Order: sequence, then structure tokens, then C-alpha cells
Amino acid sequence: MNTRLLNITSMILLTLALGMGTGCSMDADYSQEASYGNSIPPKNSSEQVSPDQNSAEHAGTDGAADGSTGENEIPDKPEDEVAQFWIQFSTDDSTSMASPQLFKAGQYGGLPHEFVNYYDPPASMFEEETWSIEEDVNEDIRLGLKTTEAQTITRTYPCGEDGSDQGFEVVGEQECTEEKEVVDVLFQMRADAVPQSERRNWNLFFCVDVSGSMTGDNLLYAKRALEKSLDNLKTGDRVTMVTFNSQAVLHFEDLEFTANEETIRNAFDNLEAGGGTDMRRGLNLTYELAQALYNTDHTNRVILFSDGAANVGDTRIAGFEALTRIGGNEGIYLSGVGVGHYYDMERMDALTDAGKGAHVFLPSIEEVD
Amino acid sequence: MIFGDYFSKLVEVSADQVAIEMMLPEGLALEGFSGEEVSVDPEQRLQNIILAAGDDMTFTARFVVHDEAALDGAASLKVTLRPLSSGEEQIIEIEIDKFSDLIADPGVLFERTQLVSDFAKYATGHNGATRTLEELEADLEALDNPDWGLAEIEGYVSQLQ
Repeated sequence: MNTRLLNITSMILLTLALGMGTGCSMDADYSQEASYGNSIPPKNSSEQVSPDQNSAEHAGTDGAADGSTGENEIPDKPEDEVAQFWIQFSTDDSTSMASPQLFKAGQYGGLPHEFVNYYDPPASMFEEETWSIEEDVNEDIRLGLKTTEAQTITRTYPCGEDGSDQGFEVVGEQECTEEKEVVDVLFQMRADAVPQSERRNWNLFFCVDVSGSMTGDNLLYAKRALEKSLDNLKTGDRVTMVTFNSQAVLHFEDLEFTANEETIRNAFDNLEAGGGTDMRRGLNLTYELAQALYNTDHTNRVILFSDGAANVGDTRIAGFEALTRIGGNEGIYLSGVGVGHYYDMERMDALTDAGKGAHVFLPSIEEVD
Repeated sequence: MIFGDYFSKLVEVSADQVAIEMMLPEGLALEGFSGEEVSVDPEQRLQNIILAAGDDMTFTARFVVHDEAALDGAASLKVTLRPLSSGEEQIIEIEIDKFSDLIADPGVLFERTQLVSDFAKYATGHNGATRTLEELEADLEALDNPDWGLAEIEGYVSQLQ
């Protein structure tokens, strides 16, 4: 019997039973059983089989209904060849980093990976690291890959009576200790910055929440951020601004910077808040304009400023993704700026994921500058 | 800071449709990862992501070695992306004869990424840090010239005790 295939089959069945065969949020624990979900066969391997097919082969090897042993149907794997499994990693978009900002503002929780984005390593560290694999993707982008030596570590953790890891939720029941051999993989892909003088012109569409919940500091932060963002623009960039509360309002469209800088600054300065929050209406109008004014020679980007507290109209995120496409293709990315301490991080994260952008957090004037 | 030097990262995309995949030897089991999501099912691919100009995608992943033979098994890395400078999809495929060929001494970036990731786990109440909070604090204190990020983290770690 091919014991390796039998093991694979068992692991797949376990995987399916645990529901771990799909993308896993990193909020989930990697229990021993769950991690065996890795044993799904590779997609381009001659050994690749669907779970159902594999189950059938497993049955065959144990004595199928037709009486065959199955040994002739499943070629044995060469002794010296180690089977592989496929794995895909998502680091999250490189600029998503609201969680550490929330932590700094005193809110406990959030997403650990955004700390790695926020506390960005100095660019020079790529050069200082000893890579096993180092590759120039092109003249702007490089990647590196390495692992550490296998090492044995001992871990003590709070556990339940059955030895299960209780994490941080239950402390003090009893302590368990485990010893295991581990390797750590490091991957980095880095893109060079583009100097302002060399970058393509930008075509920015600001979509600004001016609902009642933005009154006070939130609107102050948003206005300051809008004004400050102009410091990053250069001649030839274009700017459009839509605001929304219960209604969506176009304030100006397709104004060229720097020729219209005063008009743009005045519009920012005159923003006032009040009313409900129909975010969908605001985004719809902004994307209608963004698609109409799409400029293939420019970098087109929608930037949403909001506390995220949508409470009027269509508050669902589902279906929003289609707005960000041009004729079904990728097109106009959305960056989100969460304003104020109590912005709806989950909504902003979901929106910017759908819009293939990143989101940041504005808890204070200091964070703007 | 966001609307100062950082702002261009919100706008400038260096590459989109980025996907990072690996083929790894059986006998390794993923235990922890400093990024967002992982899929082990080719039929359930993760959403592609973007790489901002002047920015990086960095992650560490910890694997438990259940079978020593895995360290001699073949591995590969496949990175798919569309640099916006060309607008053309690019695929980088790297074959690694033995997983152990990837071994190199931990350098400054590795150590830094582990420190930040460990701090993040404690700051957000997640499991999986590679050291205790006391060890994290001691390791941060031992740094000679921490960059701004590590210096800031050092200040926050004491608050987590």
C-alpha cells in the first residue's frame, strides 16, 4: 500500500472535516490538526487529485469493491522524493496599517499584520540581510527569501484539562509544555520609491464624509489632511471632490493643480458637517466621475475620508467591488482614511479590500502631519 | 505623518495583482504567519494585493518540522505581479532543490520583523509570539541603535506588562 497517499487522504479528510481547506484568516490559531491541512496535493503535480478522487483511491488500496488491491493503479512514489503542498500567503496590501494607530490611540485589539506594515523596516535592511534567494523582479522591485536553521523550542502555555491551548482567554487553569522543532521563513518584496519629479501625474477623487458624526474634531482632521495632501501634488495633477451625508454633492471636478490650487483649498476650508451617512451614494457618485474622467496617462485613485458609520441607504459592502472596475478590469483603486477614534474599521477594511487599496487611520492632528 | 511623506504610498502603486505562492515539502506544518491570510487550497485562492511604491511586503512564517526528511525535499517560490511601469503580468518562479538550501543566518531584517510581529501579537491579544513579553522587552532594550519604529515599540512594551 502506498502509505504516503493514505496519509494524504487521511489528512484531506481531516482538513475537510475541520473546514480548513480554504483561505484562513490569521486571526485563527494554527492548531496541530489544522496545520495538517497543508497536505493538500500540489495543483500542478502528477499526483494531484481532488479530495473525492483521493478518497476513492484510498478505498481501492484498502480493498475496493471490485476486489482489486489498487496497487497497480497508484504508482508508488520514489523513496527519495518528498511530496509537496501548495500554500499562498497574503501579507495584506503594503500600506494597510490602521491597527497600530488604533493601539496608539488606546484601543486594544486589531490585526497584528498591520503592525508590520506600520513599523516599516528601513529600506536599507534588504541589502543588509543575507538572503538565500535574491531576485530583481525588475529595475524597481526586488525580492528575497530565506529560512533559519531548524531549532528546537519549548513553549509553555495555559491549557485546558484536555491539553488544548487556551491562549489568552483562560489563564491559570493549568500549564502545559510542548517541545517542537521549527524553522522560520522570511520573505520580503520591496519597491523603490518614485521621486515626485519622475512619477506619473495623479488623478485624485476625494470622497469626503460630511455627515453629522463627522462634526467637530473628525471634520477638522479631515480638512487638515485634505489641505496637507496638496503638499504632495505637482503641476498637472488633477483633483475632484465629492462630499456625502444623506445626499452626495459634487464640489468640483477635474481641476488641474496648481492652476486651481486656491479654488481647491477654499472648497476644503468651507466643508461643513451635518445629516445622515449614505456612504454608498457618495461612493457611487465618486466612482461615476472617476470612470468618466479616467485618464490612462495618470494614476487614478479614489480616497475616501469617513468615520465609516454608514446609516442611511445601502449600507452593505457587497457589490461595492464592481464599482472599482473599468469594464470588468482592475481600474480605480480606493484608499480609505478612517477619521476619528470610533471609525468603523471593519467596514473601511472591507471597502478598501474590495477596492484593492489600503486604509489608514486619522486619530489626531499629529497623525496628519 | 500620513499626509506628509507617507501620502504617496496611498496613491502610488508599484505593482498590483500580487500573489505569493510556495510549494513546500510535506512534513512541514504552518504554525504562525505575520501576514494577513493563508490558503492551502489552490481552488480557494486569496485576493491579489498591491505593492505601493517605496514600500515593502514583509512576512515571517513559522513551520513545525514533523518529518526531518522535509528539510531535504524540494521547494519552489512563485510570485505573480503586474508592475504598473509595464502593465504586463510577470511571473517569477524559483526552484529550490532542497528546502535546507534556503537556510541562512538570521540578519537584521529577520530579527526586526520577528520583534515587530511579536509585539503585534501581544498588542492585539493574539497567540503565536515567538518569545515571552519579558523576553521581548529585554531584546528591545538590548538594541544599540533602534530605528524609530523599534524605539517606539520599546516604549509601548512596558505598558503591556
